[in-house]
Amino acid sequence: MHQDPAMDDEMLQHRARALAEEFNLPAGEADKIAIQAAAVLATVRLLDDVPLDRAEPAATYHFVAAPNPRRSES
Amino acid sequence: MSDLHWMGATELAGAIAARRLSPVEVVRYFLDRIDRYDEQLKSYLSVFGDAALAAARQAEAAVIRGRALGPLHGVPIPVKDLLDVAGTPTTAGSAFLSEPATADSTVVSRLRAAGAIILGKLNLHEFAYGPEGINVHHGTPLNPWDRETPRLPGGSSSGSAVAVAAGLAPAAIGSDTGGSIRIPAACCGVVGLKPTYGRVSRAGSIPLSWSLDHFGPLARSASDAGAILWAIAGQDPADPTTSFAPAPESGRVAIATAPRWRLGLLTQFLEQADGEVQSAMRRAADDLAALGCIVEPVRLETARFAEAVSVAITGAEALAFHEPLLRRHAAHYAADVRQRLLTGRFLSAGDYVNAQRARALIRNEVNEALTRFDCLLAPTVPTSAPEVNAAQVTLAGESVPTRRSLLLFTRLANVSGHPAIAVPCGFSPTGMPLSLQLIGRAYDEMTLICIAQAYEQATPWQRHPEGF
Repeated sequence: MHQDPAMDDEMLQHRARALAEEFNLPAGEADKIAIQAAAVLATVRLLDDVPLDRAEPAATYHFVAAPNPRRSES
Repeated sequence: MSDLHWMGATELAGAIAARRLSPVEVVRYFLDRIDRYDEQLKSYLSVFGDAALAAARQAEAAVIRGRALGPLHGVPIPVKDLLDVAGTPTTAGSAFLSEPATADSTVVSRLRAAGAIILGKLNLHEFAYGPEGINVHHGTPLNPWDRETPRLPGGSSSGSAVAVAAGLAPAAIGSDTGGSIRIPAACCGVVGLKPTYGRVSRAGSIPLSWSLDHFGPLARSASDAGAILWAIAGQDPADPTTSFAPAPESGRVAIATAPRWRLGLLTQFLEQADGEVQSAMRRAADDLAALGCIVEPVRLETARFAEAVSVAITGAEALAFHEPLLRRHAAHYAADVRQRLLTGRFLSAGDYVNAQRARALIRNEVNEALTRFDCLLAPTVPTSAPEVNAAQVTLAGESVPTRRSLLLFTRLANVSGHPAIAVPCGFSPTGMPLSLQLIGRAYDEMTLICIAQAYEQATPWQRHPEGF
């Protein structure tokens, strides 16, 4: 379900180079994307520590702080 | 007239309704100030001089005829250039969007209905994707509190905060996906209010992240922010996420009848802030206690996941919107924004869904804490505004990327959807503003505004930068 935690620098750089080619990015930008992607993935992997067995399935009403009042009015 | 630029939005509206000020002279006054200062400040991307004066003449005629006036009648209010204003392009701070909008966004049409005059459109971090508030295409707005050492204005609503702080508008509209109203408000020493998710329509705007985006006011006081919020709030058939929750008819606050609020001080955020912010927060807690509030420490177990949730959701949703644009215009994006957008390609579908599941846990814990407290108290940002070229800041002895540091304490309320307000709470030894953040119950912005106003009235932190 999630990104391979073992995705190494070489794999990130390979994917970043492919992206740079796909979007015709300036030379050198692939390296910057790879560095940022490593930081993003390190942050997102903190989600692995969330006790998701307690979490409800994702649904639209999760977007709001409380059930939308119109639900109780309908 | 000499201090007209430091008058608040509701004070101006009152003076106009009482015929002490003419909407035409107010609009002319602000247009003159924009002419005089904005080449340096770079807070506006476009100024609607002729249209604003025409609207001001109509507003003046309505006053003379004694017609019923809206709560913002004759008050000039600019909006972040993410919102459509009919007949003008919505650039989102980019260099390539130039098609004129065919209709007003809901926020703009509601401002007009309340009597406000749309003065212009404000600068921002391109596509609202950056808390620094820089803009490589149009120039970065100048933080008016330090003209010697350029400091970040904060973003992404940098133009909104700078315009209000420097007296080029009495109030403005910004947007907030990870802190983009509150961060620039904190950096520039003004009030910024992110409403509850669902309170304000996003129809007619350019999105960054649909499930995290909010529009709200930046102003000189909490009561002004409230008055503007109630003008733009409410259900909108054009935005299905908007709520039917009723908005109070007035942002006015009766401090004399204020209850003894219970405030939960988020210690895990306080501990991450630098020393000058910690001192200001402890002083603010003491000031609030002196007002009769009960301040107690609180920790939220799930708050540490807010950053990961925000990064995963924003990364996925922003890429979903921008990928078609990137295919045509990648070379025209600012490099930092383009790179940030493309890192969304490294996220998986599972990351996005699990972030939404984690979000439910965070929301539930914040809701539970707010059964014990009227609001949660935290710093808005962990430092005063960093220097423009500072890539890192030091927090608790650790070097942290500046971008990440700015977002540390604001993402929580975007992820949970709760309302949050940033209020000035002091100054650093170098004279830069510091800010506290209050996070409240869903659809109870009024309590936040009441507490913020009580705090404002008891403290001396509503100041203006010199030289403007």
